[in-house]
This record gives sequence, C-alpha cells and structure tokens, in this order.
Amino acid sequence: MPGRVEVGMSGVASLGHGVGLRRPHWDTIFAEADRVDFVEILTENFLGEGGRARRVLEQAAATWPIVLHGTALSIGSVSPLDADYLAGLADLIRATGARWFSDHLCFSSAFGVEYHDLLPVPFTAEALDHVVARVKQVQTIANVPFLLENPSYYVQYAGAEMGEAEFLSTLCARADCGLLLDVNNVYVNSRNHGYDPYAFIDALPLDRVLQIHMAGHDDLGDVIIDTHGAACVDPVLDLYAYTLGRTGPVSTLLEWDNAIPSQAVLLAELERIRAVRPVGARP
Amino acid sequence: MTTERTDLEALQRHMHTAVKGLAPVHVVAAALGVDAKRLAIYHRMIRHHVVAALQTRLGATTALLGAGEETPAWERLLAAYLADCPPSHWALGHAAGAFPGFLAERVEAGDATGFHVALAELEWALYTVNRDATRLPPHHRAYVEGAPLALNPTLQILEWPYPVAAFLAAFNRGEGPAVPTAPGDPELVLVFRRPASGNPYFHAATPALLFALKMVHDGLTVADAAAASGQPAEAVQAALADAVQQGLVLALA
Ligand SMILES: [Fe+2]
Repeated sequence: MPGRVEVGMSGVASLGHGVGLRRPHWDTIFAEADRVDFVEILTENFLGEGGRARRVLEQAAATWPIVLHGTALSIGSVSPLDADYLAGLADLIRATGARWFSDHLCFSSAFGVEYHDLLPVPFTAEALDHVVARVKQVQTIANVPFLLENPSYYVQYAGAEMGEAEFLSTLCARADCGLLLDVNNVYVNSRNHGYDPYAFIDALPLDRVLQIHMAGHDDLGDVIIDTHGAACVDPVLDLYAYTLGRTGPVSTLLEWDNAIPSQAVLLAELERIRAVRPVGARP
Repeated sequence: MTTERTDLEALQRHMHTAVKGLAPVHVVAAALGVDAKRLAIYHRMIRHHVVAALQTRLGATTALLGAGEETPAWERLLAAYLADCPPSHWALGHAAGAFPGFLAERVEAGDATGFHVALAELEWALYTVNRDATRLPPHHRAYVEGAPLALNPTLQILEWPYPVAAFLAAFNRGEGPAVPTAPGDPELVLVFRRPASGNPYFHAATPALLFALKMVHDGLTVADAAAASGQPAEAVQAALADAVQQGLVLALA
C-alpha cells in the first residue's frame, strides 16, 4: 500500500499500483491483497452478474479501491448509446464505490452489431463533436470522473483533420473528461504507424491523466498486436518512466488479459512496474 | 434528430462491411484509404471473438460439431452462423446465445442432430444460470425443520428426449461418451446455481427431487404432502432435506 498520498499534476491522488481482477486469480489474490494497491474491474465481466462473480466483486470492493474499465460503451459509434448498458454501469459504479470509470476512444458496435473489439474513430472535427456530445451524456450517469483511453489501432484513415494527440487534447478539454493513458498503446501505435512516442506523450494533456495502463504485446515483425498477453517490454517501461517524469505520481495498472500467468508472475511484473522511477529526459 | 448520412457514418458503414466480411477487405480498404493487410486484422479478430465465445460457452456442442479439428463441416456451419447471427449484446458470451436456435433450423438439412440442439440448449442454460443476477435470499446451509422453504430462484427445469445431462457430465470428465443418435424417453434436467459455491450446476431430475420441488412450489406442509402422496412424513422430509442439500430448495433464515 502507498505510505502516503501522492498527487501528480492531475491533482487527483494516485491510488498506487494495481492489477485487473481476472478469474484465474479469484481464489488466491485476496491472500496477497497487500501487494496490490487498487484493482481494476472489467465492466463487462461483472455487469449484471450474480453468483460467484458478484461475491468476488463485493469482496474486492471491501478490500481495495476499485476503478471500472469497459470495452463496450462504443463512445464513437454513430448508433445510440445502449441505455440498458449505461444503467447497469451506473449501478456497478455505485455498488463498488468506483473512484472513476473508463472506456476507449473507439467504436465497438454499430448498426445493431457488437464487434467485441475496438475500432478506431477518425481524427476529424465531425468525429470530435460527436464524441464530445456522447462523453457529456455518459458523464451524467455518475458523479465520479469518466476517463477515455487512447486505444491501439492498426489502420490510419485517410482524411484525418488533426493528429491523435490534438484530438485527445481537444476532446478532454471540451468534454471535461479524464485521460486513461495506455503507455503500451502509445508504443504499439508509434511502431505500427511510425511516429515518435516521446513527442506524442509531450503533446498529450498530461494534467488530464488520472490513470496509466501498462501491458505487453505481440510483435509480429511487420505489425505489433496489442494482446495484453505478455510482460511489458523495456521500451514501454522507459516510456513510462518518461511519462511519470512529466505527470508526477499516477495510478498505474497492469493489464494482462490473454495467456494470463500465475499470480506470482503477475505480481512480480507489477513490482517491476512499481520499481520504475520518473526520469526527466528521454533515453 | 438528423438521419442524413454523414462522413462518420459512411466510414463506420465501410468498417462494418469489412469486419463483417460483407465485402472483400481490399475493396473496403481502398474506399477508406487504409492498408488492406491491417484492415484484415480487425476482420480476423472480430471473427475470433465469436468463435471463442462459441467454444467457451458451448464447448461440448462445438467439439461434437468438429470445432477442435476445424473440419469442413464445422467451418461451413460457422460461416453461416457468423453471417446469420451477428452478436447484438455487449456481453461477449451472448455471441453464442443464438447458436442453439441456429442449429435447430439446420437439423432438417442434416447439418446437426436433435441431440446437438439439446446439448447446446443445456450448455446455454448453464451460461444463463451462471449470469443470472438474481440474489438468493438469506438461507440455512441445510434443511431446518419448520424453516420456510423456497425454490432456488435460479432453477430452470428443462426437458429433452435425450440423456443430455449424463452425456455432458461424462464429457466434462473427459470420458468421450457415445453420442445418442435417436430420441428416446423425455428426461427432465435441473439447471441451477449452487448456493454454497455460486457456481452453475445441473443434473437429471429424480422422482424424489421433483416431488420435493412440487411440494415447495405448491406450498404444501409435510403432513399435507405425506397425505397426498401416501408416503410417510419421514420420506417427505428426507426428500426435502436432499433438495436443500443440493441447493434446489432454500431453507429460509
Ligand atoms: Fe489499456
């Protein structure tokens, strides 16, 4: 547990270092509760669930600070927001006392079909207006902050009217929402699309960053796939150190969703991230 | 509210067409000005999510249909399912929810049997019971004489003309049970969430358990049930105690 409250440039106290609560660790994670400062709940894994999932959720909420993270909000979709989903999300936020809730800048459903994946939105003024209006709508369901995450994406649409960092900055300012900065996604995108990840970090509204995601990926050579199925690579840890040098202390969460390792490996990886110190300059 | 087609909507229509496989990826990629190989990643991932949902939620059914070996018959079935039954619910597991009905419509064509349909329905029932958000009322761990009784609110009683419960139990033990080919006598299966563990469970109904369930459902006293059935009160109590022990009936606290 953090010994004292640490506040970075967002003005929101850091919750420390956390992990996602995943089914393979349900039986064992509580015995090592003091190695984890906070826990992130995947909204869709617990929304509307009874039985075992509900019990684990209640135990987690009694053990750690909780943050909620979703993949199905589809904030960028041209189809209407799902009212049932939003109502369930609001209930879950209340039931867990979540500090904030988040989803991705993407569309994950449209025209009545759920993709269960994160499709990129174009960086256009029209998309920006659309997402801003929908974030404002989502913010009315709860009185805790809403954060949007920079997703990994594999295609860059022709006809972009601004860069991703400018899109995110303007979005956060106009919608008055937070940013969940996924450092691995920045690295993956920078490799897949050939840009400088450090300059990208510099261009972000870092005072809006309430949470950071760290994760591993799968490097296929010609493309990197954001699998959350491995340990973080060193360049991502370096980029994280640089980011911390800019933001100050930020709640940092390790995501590991595929090829989920033993709890020992997971917590050792969390310690590796915890040991990262902020640096003032790029390596 | 405007209904005119916007650039954003046009872009999402294009992406929808590509990821659903409704048009060749290279055609959509050209329209969007994106790299076709990269766009194909989304098509593959989105397809993979549905396949994974089917194999996770309907593991026995899809194994019987050749999913593990990716047989041509399975690939044909899968392609038809992906086209006919796109996911429409935010929960990934629901991507498998239309599969039992989809199979039922293909029995006549010989793509599946009645047994496959029954097995898929049982596996799907286990998923819905597991997700059921119903909260169980406070109850004792075992039968307590005089405590008010209630049916487990997650209980589903399902009927099939195949021994699906025995098959699935043996399959889950890794035994490779024989697949019934022809329908037989109807069998009732109890699907419910166990109060102690919170995990879903199923087994074939027995006359004694059905008697206990009916008695609780109808609100009969032990004496009434004994008189109506011509059994001694001890036998009625034993049936109730077994139903409570299994978690089918709750002895309310
Ligand atoms: Fe992330």
